[in-house]
Amino acid sequence: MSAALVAELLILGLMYGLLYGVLAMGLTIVFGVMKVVNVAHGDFVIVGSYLSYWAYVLAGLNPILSLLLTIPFGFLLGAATYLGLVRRVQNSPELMSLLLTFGISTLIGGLLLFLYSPTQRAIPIALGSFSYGTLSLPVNISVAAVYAVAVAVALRFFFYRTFWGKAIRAVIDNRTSAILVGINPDTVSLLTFGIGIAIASSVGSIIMLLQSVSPLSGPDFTLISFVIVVLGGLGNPPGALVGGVVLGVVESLASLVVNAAMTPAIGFLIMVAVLVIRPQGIMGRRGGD
Amino acid sequence: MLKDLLFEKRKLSRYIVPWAVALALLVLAPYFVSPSLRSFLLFLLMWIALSQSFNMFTGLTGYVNFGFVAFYGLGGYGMTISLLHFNIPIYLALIIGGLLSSAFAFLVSWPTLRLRGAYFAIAMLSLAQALFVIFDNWNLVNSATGYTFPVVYYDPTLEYYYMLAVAAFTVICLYLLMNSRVGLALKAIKQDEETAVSIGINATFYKALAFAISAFFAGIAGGVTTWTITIIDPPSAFDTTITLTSISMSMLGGLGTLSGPVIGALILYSIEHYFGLTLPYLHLIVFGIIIVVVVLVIPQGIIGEITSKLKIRDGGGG
Amino acid sequence: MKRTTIKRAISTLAVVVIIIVLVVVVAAGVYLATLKFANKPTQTGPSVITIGMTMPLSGTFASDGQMSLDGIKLWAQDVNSSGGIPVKSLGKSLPVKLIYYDDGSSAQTVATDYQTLVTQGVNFLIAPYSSPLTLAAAPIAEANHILLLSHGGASDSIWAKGYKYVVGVLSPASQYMIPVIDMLSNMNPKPTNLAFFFGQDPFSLSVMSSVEPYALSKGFKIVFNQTYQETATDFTSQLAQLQASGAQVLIGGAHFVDGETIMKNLQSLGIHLDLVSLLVAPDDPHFLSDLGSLANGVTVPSQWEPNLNFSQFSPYFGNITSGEQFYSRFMSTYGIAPNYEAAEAYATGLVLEKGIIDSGSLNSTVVRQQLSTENFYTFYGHFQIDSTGKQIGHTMVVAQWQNGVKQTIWPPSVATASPLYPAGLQIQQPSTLSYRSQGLSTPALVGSPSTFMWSASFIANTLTVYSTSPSKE
Repeated sequence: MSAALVAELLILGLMYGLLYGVLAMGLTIVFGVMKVVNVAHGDFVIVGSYLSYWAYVLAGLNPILSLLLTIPFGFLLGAATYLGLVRRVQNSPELMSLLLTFGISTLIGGLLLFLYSPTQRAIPIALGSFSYGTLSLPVNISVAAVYAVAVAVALRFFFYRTFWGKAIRAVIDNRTSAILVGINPDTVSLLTFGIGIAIASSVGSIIMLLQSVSPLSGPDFTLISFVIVVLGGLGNPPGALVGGVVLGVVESLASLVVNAAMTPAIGFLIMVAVLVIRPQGIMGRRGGD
Repeated sequence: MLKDLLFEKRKLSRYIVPWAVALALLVLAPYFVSPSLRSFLLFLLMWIALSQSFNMFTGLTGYVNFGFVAFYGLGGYGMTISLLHFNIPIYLALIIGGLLSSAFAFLVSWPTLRLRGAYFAIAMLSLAQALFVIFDNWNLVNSATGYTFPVVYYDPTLEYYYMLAVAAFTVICLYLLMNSRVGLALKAIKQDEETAVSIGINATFYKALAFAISAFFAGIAGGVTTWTITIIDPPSAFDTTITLTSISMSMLGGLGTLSGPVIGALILYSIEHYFGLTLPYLHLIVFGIIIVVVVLVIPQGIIGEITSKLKIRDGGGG
Repeated sequence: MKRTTIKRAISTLAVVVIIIVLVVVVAAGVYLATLKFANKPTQTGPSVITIGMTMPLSGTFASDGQMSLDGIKLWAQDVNSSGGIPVKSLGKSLPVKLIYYDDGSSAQTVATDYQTLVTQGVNFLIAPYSSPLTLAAAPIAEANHILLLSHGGASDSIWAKGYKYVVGVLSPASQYMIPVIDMLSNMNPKPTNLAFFFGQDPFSLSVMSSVEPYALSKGFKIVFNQTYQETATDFTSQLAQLQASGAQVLIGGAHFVDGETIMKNLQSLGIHLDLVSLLVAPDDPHFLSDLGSLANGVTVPSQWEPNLNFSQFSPYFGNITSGEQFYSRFMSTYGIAPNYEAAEAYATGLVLEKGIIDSGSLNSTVVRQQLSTENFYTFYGHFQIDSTGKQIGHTMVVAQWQNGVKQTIWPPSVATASPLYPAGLQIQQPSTLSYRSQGLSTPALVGSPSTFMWSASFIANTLTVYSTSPSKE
């Protein structure tokens, strides 16, 4: 076990963590604004993946270029889902929105399965690696990490420098007050859901650089997002990023100690531990919701 | 508590008739149906048992247990290991499987039941996944290879009756639960937990109790199913589709009702069985649509809507 | 007033429940009635030989299941076009009818479906592809005394259960990696450090448990030994550790999808190995079309390769006299090259055929008894089973991709080329791999993502301290 190996695993964990952290941000803002846990979050990732896949097959667009497709598509899909389905359970007990998004998740998986069969889809692009002496870092995950950082920066700008971004933050912070100052919660919800799904969809494009997907791969991404969101605190976007990095690094380094197949279990157990000890997450605020 | 039961007795006799008839038909079934149909009924009874056990907790408390399959899988493994490693007779091995599930439920109820709705759902889902990963890599339970039952244990008729018994007991237990003090407490918790706690109801205890009972029956159902299909390995024991199907069935029929999950299981399993062979991908779409439609249009499920329109409570209840 | 409403409501409910139950029972009765008269032998005897099976056509083993099914269907087609199988006890030749369902790679579905097949009335059963699914089908066949032929379930545990009705056509798992070790022992220079990276499933673990002691007995060192979750989509962190372990040879894998993932991850980490030997995956032609030059040098223990020819052995059975002939039959029927999964499935049909002909019966017990005395060759190889039904006649070979062609490299007596060793992974630069048609007409514009590649390459080169060398190794 050399220092180079540990460093390599650390950096790998960091990069994966950033990517999944950004994905989790999409989930957490939806919860923060609407108190809806989107169980279908990961399935929207897969929708984006399939879009990228077909963009590559039919038009030769590489996954980075297909971001131009998946981001707007994701936003529109999210908006439509909100308007058609999610809006109706916003004010119902949480059980209902949980079950609804669960149903949507099943539906998306089933549709993709029906349309495209269970065959794994991959985009055959190989990017090689960067070598630094004995250290080597895959180019594809580096690109993904760069993308993640770009999204995080863009979101930061959005949330702090634009009206609607600030409106979203206001609703997350205190919904009633936000309404009182004249912010339309419905529009905010619409925007948020759209953004959340756009993020998921775009991550779906990036994922095609890293691995293959199949119609039922969605729940894996949902689960990772959940774990990260819990770590970082529900409704806390920067927390999601931090939580993602923590999870990524811990799982990566854990592979040195335990059989790597077990590392997902470690992630879950950490999450449950956090839920018990500090239910608001690493960076969450005490009290409130 | 005795008084409650006595009070219900007047309604009981009228109410029990359809159930008794159904039970009698099912008991006699193996004598006049084909093995294929008996197999169909066996798995139908399994789904009835599973969706009722799911209902026992989620329907009564309002907490969504996305990790439900963990109980099923643990029950299956508990039974398998007792039977194959320790040569414990089947009926006892099944009970052990159920108790193992219950023990697990009790164990995790302390950290998880303190959590609210969404957190709880996510935590349970993750726990089920963690169990899958652990069992898949744990040599003590044969990791990925799992276990297969030697031929001696294969007895389809006996398996059928065991499953019938499990389903029947699950329904009976749910009825008793709904009509007891515990059921009353759970109803209060479901409606408004904070208020319930403030009037002195020990929410944690009652929730944990329902949780453990739900786990027990799911575990036994898992044991009988494992016995029937003679193989258990981590992917089949902790298959999230089982949670999905149980949820769909209980929701369609009506969470929190007595006959709801039975009706839901009947409808959905029939669809799955008769169309699953020819259109294997369609049933996911059907389940998805059903869940979405139920949530948006008939959130209380078929039986739930009927009984609320008629202003009675299915299964009695305090 | 309320009392009567409640009474009425409960009565309504009661009636509803009873009606539903009655409907089910009646419908079931009708179904049962139709079932009773379907597929039942008429007074003059059966008119067709019914063979039932499930295949994983979706899920984890989808590509393997499809190959196997194609192989069996081709056999059925060939048998029927030559007039069927002569059954002495009936004095005539009967055509073969296949009944198959998609089990979705799920053991539970296998169990219920085989029960249905048995009730539908089949003469023989063929197992689904893969060891766990074969294990799920076995007890049902056993309990009903119906012969179950395994073409894609190799795990030795299948024949350790005391089943009397399960017969294996393929070499068991314990045989798989042995020839690879033999081959490595003969290399000059002989490698010393091996890495084991097997999937977590009964088959791969079975292979691992036999190759590990064998490798040690031949003087190899195992410097890395981990297993992986087959359903995982990325093995980078584990393979990074493999890289650090100083291994020269990688032995492992499990099935198709994860095999490809391993190769991609190896490439993305820039790992150099003298040889890679993976189970199953490299034998599939899609492995080459998906990975392109990345597949070069990868070896696979194979149940069968097209260049093999057993026609000089006797007794010989079947109209297919050489591997090449099977290859072109399959290719012209399905448009893709067969891998050994297709061959072993076809051979399974041949074994059953011979069993029926030689025993003259359609009774499973009789045919099973017959098979235990059989000792013959087909295009697939030697067939002979031991008392448990396990295959002991068939032997494995090792194949390797060399410049886009799959060569047989071991044992030397059947080799078409000498092993490419050290094979190594050559690719460091970003590359575009050939695209596999997904059943679409050839995409008109498979645009080369050249701009992207160029910029990525440019960035890669300017940022690295030590530049990536294109011809390392």
